[in-house]
Amino acid sequence: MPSEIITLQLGQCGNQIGFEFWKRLCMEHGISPSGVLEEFATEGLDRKDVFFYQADDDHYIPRAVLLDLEPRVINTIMTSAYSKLYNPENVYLSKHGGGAGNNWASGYSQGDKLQEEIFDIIDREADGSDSLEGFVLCHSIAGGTGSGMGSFLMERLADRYPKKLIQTYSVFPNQEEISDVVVQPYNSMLTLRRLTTAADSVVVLDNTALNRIACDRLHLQNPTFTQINTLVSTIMSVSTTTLRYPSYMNNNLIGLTAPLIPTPQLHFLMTGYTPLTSDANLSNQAVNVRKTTVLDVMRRLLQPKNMMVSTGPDKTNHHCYISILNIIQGEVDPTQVHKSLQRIRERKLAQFIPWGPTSIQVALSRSSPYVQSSHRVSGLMLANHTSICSLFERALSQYDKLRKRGAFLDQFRREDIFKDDLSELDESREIVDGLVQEYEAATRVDYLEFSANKASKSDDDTKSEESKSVKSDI
Amino acid sequence: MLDYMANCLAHEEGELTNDLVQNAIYSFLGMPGKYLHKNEMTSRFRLNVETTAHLSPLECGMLLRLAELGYYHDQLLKYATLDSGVNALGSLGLAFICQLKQQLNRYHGEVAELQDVHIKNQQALHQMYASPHDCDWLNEQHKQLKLTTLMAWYTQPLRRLQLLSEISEYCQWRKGGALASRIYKFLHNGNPLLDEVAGELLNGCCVPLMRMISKWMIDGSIEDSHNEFFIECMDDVDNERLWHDKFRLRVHMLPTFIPRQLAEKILKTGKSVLFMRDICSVTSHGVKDPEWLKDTIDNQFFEIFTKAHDASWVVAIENCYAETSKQVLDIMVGPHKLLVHLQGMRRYLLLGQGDFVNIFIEKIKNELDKLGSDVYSHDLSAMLDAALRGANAHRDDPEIMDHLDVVVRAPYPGDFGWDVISLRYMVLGPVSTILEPVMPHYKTLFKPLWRMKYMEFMLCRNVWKEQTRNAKALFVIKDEIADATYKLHLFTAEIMHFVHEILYYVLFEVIECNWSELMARLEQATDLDEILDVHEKFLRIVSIGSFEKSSETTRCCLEVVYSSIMHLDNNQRVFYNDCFTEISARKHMEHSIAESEREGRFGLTTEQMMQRLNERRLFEGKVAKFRVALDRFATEYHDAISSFLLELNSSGDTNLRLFGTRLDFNEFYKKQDINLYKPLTFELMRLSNVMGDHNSRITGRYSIRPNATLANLC
Repeated sequence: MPSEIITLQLGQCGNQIGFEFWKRLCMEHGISPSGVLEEFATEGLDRKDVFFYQADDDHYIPRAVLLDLEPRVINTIMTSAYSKLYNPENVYLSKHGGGAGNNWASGYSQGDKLQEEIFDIIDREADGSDSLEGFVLCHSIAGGTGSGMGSFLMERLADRYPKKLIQTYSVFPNQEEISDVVVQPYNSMLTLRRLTTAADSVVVLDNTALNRIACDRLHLQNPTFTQINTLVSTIMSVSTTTLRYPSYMNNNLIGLTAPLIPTPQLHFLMTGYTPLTSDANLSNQAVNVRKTTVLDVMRRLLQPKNMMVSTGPDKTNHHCYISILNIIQGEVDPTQVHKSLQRIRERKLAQFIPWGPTSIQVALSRSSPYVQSSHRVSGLMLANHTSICSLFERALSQYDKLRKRGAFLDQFRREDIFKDDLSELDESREIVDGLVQEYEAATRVDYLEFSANKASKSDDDTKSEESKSVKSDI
Repeated sequence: MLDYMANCLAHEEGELTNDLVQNAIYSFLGMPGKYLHKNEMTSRFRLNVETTAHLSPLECGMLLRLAELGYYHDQLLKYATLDSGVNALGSLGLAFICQLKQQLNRYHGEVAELQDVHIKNQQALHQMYASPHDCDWLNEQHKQLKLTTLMAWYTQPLRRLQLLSEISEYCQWRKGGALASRIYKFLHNGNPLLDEVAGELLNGCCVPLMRMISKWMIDGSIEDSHNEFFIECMDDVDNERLWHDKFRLRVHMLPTFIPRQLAEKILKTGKSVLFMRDICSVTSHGVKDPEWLKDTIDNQFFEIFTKAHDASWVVAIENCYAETSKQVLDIMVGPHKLLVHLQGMRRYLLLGQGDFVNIFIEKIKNELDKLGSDVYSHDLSAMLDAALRGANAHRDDPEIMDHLDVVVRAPYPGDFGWDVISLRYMVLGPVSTILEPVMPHYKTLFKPLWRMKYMEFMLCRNVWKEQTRNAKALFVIKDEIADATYKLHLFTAEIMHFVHEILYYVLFEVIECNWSELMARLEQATDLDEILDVHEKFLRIVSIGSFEKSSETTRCCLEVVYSSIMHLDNNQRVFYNDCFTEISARKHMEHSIAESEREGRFGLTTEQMMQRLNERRLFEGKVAKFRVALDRFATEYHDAISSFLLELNSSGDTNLRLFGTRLDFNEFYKKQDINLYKPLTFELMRLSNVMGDHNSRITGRYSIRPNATLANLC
């Protein structure tokens, strides 16, 4: 009964980061690309069964479902060294292979059509685990398959497995380069709605920030997808490290996420990682290795430049942390931890919400003995910060620009969900707008009253509606 | 004629001197004579008034003084006689008496020699008087023993006898180590004679003691029929408690020349030998060269009286101790896996193995809510096994698994499964003998930790998860119930914060930090007792840190937190049920409206409408009521937390104060409760204490201005 987690990889981006993630996990657990446990790793005290299960011949198979509507990325995976790792039955490619054409609506309706086949796979995986803890979804919110089909799957999963957690690693598009996907704002908006209503926790991976980090911090001129995805896979693997190397606390997904998410809507998490190095740096630049203590790591984690989310300058300086979890790995003297926390508090390095008690949680985690790091201590921060709403605000403004002109809506109208009207889009906008307001409210002392304000407003609405309906009845 | 007269006079005088001398010699052995009477009660001699009338005062005086020797002789004889009522006791006493007797014998020898000389002189004198012309008697005269000669002789034996009887008197009724200590007191006092006398006595006297020590150290056995050895064996304590309780030092029997520390080592050595032989059934171990050791202990102990620290006797004992304790340590850590068991207890009883605990709670959560009498231990054992298999635990040493067990104590009426179920770590054989006294610690520690963990489980698995799930399901009416749900979520988050912080504090800062320290110390440990000491200290710190032995306020606070969680769990279930009923009722109505529309009937009747409205109002009332209930819980919770924080902040323990600041990291409570400012009056000082040395200044915090008021602050 190891609290299993099933990973669903959707679309081009989802499969790419998923692939990197599994590569990383295999490396950390000493599993060869073909799923066989390496000889040096047989003594491990790690828990592989959260993410892997063992086949009859004892080789390890990831609890992963690979879904895509076009064959390119999946074919790359299936021709790579890791092709034998996955259960081939868990790889689903749509038969026509035409993709979703970067159209959310297309992905969504294809998801609807293919749901039986897809859920055959998911149900089989779920039945194969003793006590399924939840699903982890890897996708991007801007494309077609990951966003559209991902949205559809999230809704279905929430219905079908109401007791399981749904966590997503959602890649947000890079704002600094002009996308070739013109309908990206629509896609984002529609996906954001599902992330708000159907997911339990969303780890936001902002391509803008990832690129910036790759350029500024890792000194790469033109970061490739693989390099960016390595960053992502690091975050994914470290954020699951307490599940895989159990110790005293945070040994399941709920225990990890519950303290981070005070109200169900505020479930968008940012991540930060330090120290950041790339393989290239590692080989030729010993200079980049800095002294790392727990305090250094924690302090750096609180710096915006290490965050994997690009929130833009907070002009009014009112945004604050709702909760923080630092996962620290490496040679750490446990007694240093509370001293560091005390320092951070004294220096007021972090600003916290005024409406409830909160603090920096720390989880010291063992790390894989098979992966060598040049740093003594490394840390990952999972934080719930109100400034994440600036991401949604940006998405809203871009959406509004497009929506006002009514541009590029034809391809949406073609799909079932938009056949009658475009209310789906407007509803999504309303929900995302509500989310932004909620995050703004969470910066204020009277966050609790936010509900009251809303309630009174809605009371008026419902009353007027009631009176209308009464009238119509009479 | 004159010559003859003179001769006669001299003869007479010589006879008198002879008589006197003979009397004096008799008195040396405590015998009365012609001139001296003896008081049998006091053994004092006095002059016989009738016979001594014609003696010169000088002679009388000398006689009396010489008779003093007889008094001391008698005294000594008394001390040297068994069952005289004043003699030393026990086998050491016996040895002491022997020594005294030897001394007496020597004295008797000296007196006998004197007598010999005296008799010879007498014969010579008689011969001379018989044939006075054979030789010049005047020349012979100086050979005769006179009282003055005796006076010259008697000082030395007198001093000796005096010392001996002084020592003996001081030692009367003493036995064993106490006896040895008393004799030892006479050593090193600057008087060479006393030194010599006491030294001889002590050497003789200690022989039995040394035999006991060597027998104990080599063989582990005590032959001590007089209860005089400084190691005591409780015969009524069984071997299970051999290590901790069966043997102890009999402090009043410990000779002062053996330091306490050394005595402890002697005790431990013998104990180790016994432990290895009787409990571990290891016979191959033991003292390496028992013959040599026995020889050293039995025959070279004299040195410790003069040079206590580097005497070969001490060195031999220390070596032997180091050797055996190393052996015991090796046996315990090696074949008996002491450290593995400690690790095991830490993992399972102190919840170090987080995944196991989660799974186990998940498995047995239904049992915990049952009535105590409905809980069966065989069900639980199966669940425990399943949990162990499921957790990463199966990679552990299988030995640990076998020792883990669920126990169900006999339930009292009204007990729930929660009260009767607990985990137990069974240790057997030598390890149990070693760990016996600390096992209750683990037992008492387990419950509160387990409870904390269970509450976290309830909070995450039931309360929080239910909320997240229902938030999705109730999205349609979220605005209507927002008033209640927001309060619910925020309150839950608040409790979640507390539970996580306290768990983190206990499991990590207290247990984990001290455990790593313990491990470091264990690696350096050279003997078993060191390990046990460090381990016990660890448990003591943990039991303080885990609030197991804390004040009423703390316990109350924890109770309030726990009961809040339970209330939340129960009340929110009712609340969500109401919500779902309401939603389905609404759906039903919409459905029937749509139905009637399709059939072309008239929509709803006013009655139905009214009923619906009523129901709706009722639902709104329920939501409001739930909110009120939440407010009540929250107020109670806040009060509890505030007093808890106040207590933490004013605690003398730095760690607890730090925990207080951690609990209120963003000063949420501090802003709400003005009371919390009070203990932080000297905050700067406190903060400087955190980093620097804090021991020196903590005490000063209260004394400077104990009644610092809020007025100063505001």
